[in-house]
Amino acid sequence: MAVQLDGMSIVAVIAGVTPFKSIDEDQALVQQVQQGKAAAFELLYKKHYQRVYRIAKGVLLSPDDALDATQEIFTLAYKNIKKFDERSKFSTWLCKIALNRSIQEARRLQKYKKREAQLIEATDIPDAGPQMNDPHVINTLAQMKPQDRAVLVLHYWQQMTAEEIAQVMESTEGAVKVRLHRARDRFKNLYSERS
Amino acid sequence: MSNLPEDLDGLLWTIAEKRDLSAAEDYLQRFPTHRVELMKRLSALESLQKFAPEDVTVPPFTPRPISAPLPTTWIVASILGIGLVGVGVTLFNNAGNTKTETVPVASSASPAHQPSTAIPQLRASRTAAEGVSQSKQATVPLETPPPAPVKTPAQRAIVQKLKLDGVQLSLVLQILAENTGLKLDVQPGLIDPKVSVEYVNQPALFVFEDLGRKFGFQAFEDAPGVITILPKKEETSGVPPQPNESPFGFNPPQERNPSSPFSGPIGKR
Repeated sequence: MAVQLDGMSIVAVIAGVTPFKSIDEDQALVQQVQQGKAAAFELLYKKHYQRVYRIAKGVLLSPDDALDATQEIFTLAYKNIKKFDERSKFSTWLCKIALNRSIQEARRLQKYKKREAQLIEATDIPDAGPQMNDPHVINTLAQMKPQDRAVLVLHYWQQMTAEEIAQVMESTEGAVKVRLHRARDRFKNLYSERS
Repeated sequence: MSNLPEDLDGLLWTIAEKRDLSAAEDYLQRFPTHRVELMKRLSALESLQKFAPEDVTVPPFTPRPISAPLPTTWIVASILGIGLVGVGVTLFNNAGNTKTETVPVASSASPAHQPSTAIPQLRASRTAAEGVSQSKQATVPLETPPPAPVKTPAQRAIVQKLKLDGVQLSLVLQILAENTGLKLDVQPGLIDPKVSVEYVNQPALFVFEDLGRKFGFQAFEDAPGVITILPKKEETSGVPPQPNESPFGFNPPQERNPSSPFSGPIGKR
């Protein structure tokens, strides 16, 4: 099974299980996009959508804002893909865009305090332990800085190591560890207060 | 931050992250007073990890206009407004000096050389930069040869920086005129598309003329400080006009009669 783009076969496929098994698949797709094969971007989009959405959701908290931001992030990636120089993995580059854009958007919107207040007033919190839409978690995250939310999201939702996060955040591994430790501690304290 | 020693704090986080129950029991046997702290960490991390969003249905890719990411239009409008004001202030600062200068008075004795409006940008910048020193020569007695070329207000006013994206042509002209202290006389029939322009350190007259070349009109300084915009006629616009072409029989300022009443050195009446 191979992916067809405007009549060109671009991806070497292993075992026919899925078209996304080739090690350099991202690179091949990126090269296709850079050569003007816009359809290749659709494959990158589908492949990385969930990852980008999670970052946006973790930083922005609102599903609607996250959906909008995800489209913007991929638009940015598409527009700037010619600048991608393959010094890093495409996924790292994309995460970097996702993170920066989400943080930028979170700062701009500045409506989370208001949202948090609304949630606190409107929610009768049942004592049923953690759940997918646990308002304690939302409210706790809402009290944190976007950068702190981001580092928690990358570590606990994307299972990224401090080294990988450092690449995305253009920081050092040590600085990421310190930030992660502080963010985790702050989350724990705020969450415990609310619980 | 907890008050635990750094090493124990790190150990507690490790136990909580790995959810290693046997390690937790061992730890609590040694430090039973840390039970609450361990439970807090276990609970917080469990909640955070379970809060991770589930996969969503991937919608079709719909590229967004990144330049307008803000949720409310008034914020966009205000930013645009600030940008325009910034451009205006920049232009005004440069036009300020030219507005206070006296308009050159008629002189038949020494016809002034009007620089070509079709000159390349480099020359336009150079001649514009010479404007101040030339206007100072107005105090030099007439007997001192040679008389310095005198520039019109539209040639003296410098557009330091103008960058507009997707703005209607008429608005661009208006912004230019208002911020360079020039009057605009737009003749009927101007096509008014949305345009994107960028100029840096160019005389205002050059900018008007360049816009004219690009967007189908003739711009010239009909009188000192008055820019006339003459749209090109339909019958001549079938073929895109070449730069510097004058299909209307109008002579641009550099080709006007040198004995024009608005040519000549300053100070001679």
